[in-house]
Amino acid sequence: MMKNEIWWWSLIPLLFVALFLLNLYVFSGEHKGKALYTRHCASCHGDQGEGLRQLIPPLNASDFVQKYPGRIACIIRYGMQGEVVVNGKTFNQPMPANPQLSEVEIANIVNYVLTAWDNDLPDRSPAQIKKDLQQCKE
Amino acid sequence: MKYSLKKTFWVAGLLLACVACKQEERRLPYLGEKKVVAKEDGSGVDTVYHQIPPFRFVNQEGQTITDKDFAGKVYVADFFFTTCPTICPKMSAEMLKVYEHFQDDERVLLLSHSIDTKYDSVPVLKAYAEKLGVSAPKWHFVTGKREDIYDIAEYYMVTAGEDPAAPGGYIHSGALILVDGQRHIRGVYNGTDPEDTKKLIEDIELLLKENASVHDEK
Ligand code: HEC
Repeated sequence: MMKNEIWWWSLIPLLFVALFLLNLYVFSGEHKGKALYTRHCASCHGDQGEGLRQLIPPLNASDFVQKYPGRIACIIRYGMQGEVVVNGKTFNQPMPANPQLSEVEIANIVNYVLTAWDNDLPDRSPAQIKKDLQQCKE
Repeated sequence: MKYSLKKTFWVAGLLLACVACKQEERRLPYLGEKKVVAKEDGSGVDTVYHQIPPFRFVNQEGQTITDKDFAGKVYVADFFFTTCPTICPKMSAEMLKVYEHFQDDERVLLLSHSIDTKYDSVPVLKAYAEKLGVSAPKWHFVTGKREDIYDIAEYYMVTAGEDPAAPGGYIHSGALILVDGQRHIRGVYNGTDPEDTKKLIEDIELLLKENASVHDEK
């Protein structure tokens, strides 16, 4: 009987550790970035960032993303128009703006895109994102 | 003991036969309102299934497309617009899987109606189809009179409408609708769910078999 009770108590710290880990996951930017990506980007760019034929450019292994990580924040906020060449293919289809997304949300999406799938690009800090957004052309 | 073993075999045999017959009999339902009407010669009643009415639209090549182009074929219809900011590219991606699966089978066609008849002109539709890498007569992207598109959407049992509050200015359903050679609706699938597309492809195969046997009977 006694032995049984002791066994139960030893589970409590474990529970705390589990909750803590869950907490870390739920509140981490990565998790939020993925959820925001799924909601606002995946219907066009695809769950795996694969794009769609000549209609929508990829975000996974995109040379555009690699070359201009500082432009992604602006593209999310203001959309994109006109011709753009990604991985040697020309795309020309308007991408809509996302004026409803906050700076923090944009930062989470940018950092998700930079590191998701096969992408392994350096994160952008909140300060960098702020600067990126101040320098948008539109 | 011997008796019960025999019985077991019997039951198992019957069960197997039943499973086999069930599988053969799986037929797609007729969706929409049914009407029961008296036969013209007064010999009883007939069931009349919901049917897509005759139509006439213009496709991405500027050609007039009517219900006659789809007679006897199995086709998948949807409603979209080229500048749609939400679900359309996903729907197109799923339709594309159907297109590729039945690429060499001329009994299967696709029909996408633009609900943005102002912006989606023939050249705009043509450019969209080209970017997707698809072409008529397998996949028609059509436009027409605004009312005609919205009226026919009702027959396909999907919502479509202008709504300034909605993203892109239009609301519409993401459904892919499976229609048989007699213009009866035989299935509705979620055009944003890859699992549903697998089911759609299976159902098309089923419908093709049924269509073939209908022709044999005639
Ligand atoms: C309605 C479809 C659509 C949605 C939703 C969308 N995009 Fe785009 N995106 C496009 C198109 C089309 C282009 C090409 C624009 C052009 O031709 O100028 C593009 C271009 C881009 C580019 C630059 C080219 C490349 O592929 O590297 C980035 C980066 C990008 N989008 C990121 C995003 C992110 C992040 C989101 C979510 C916040 C998003 N997009 C949502 C359609 C979309």
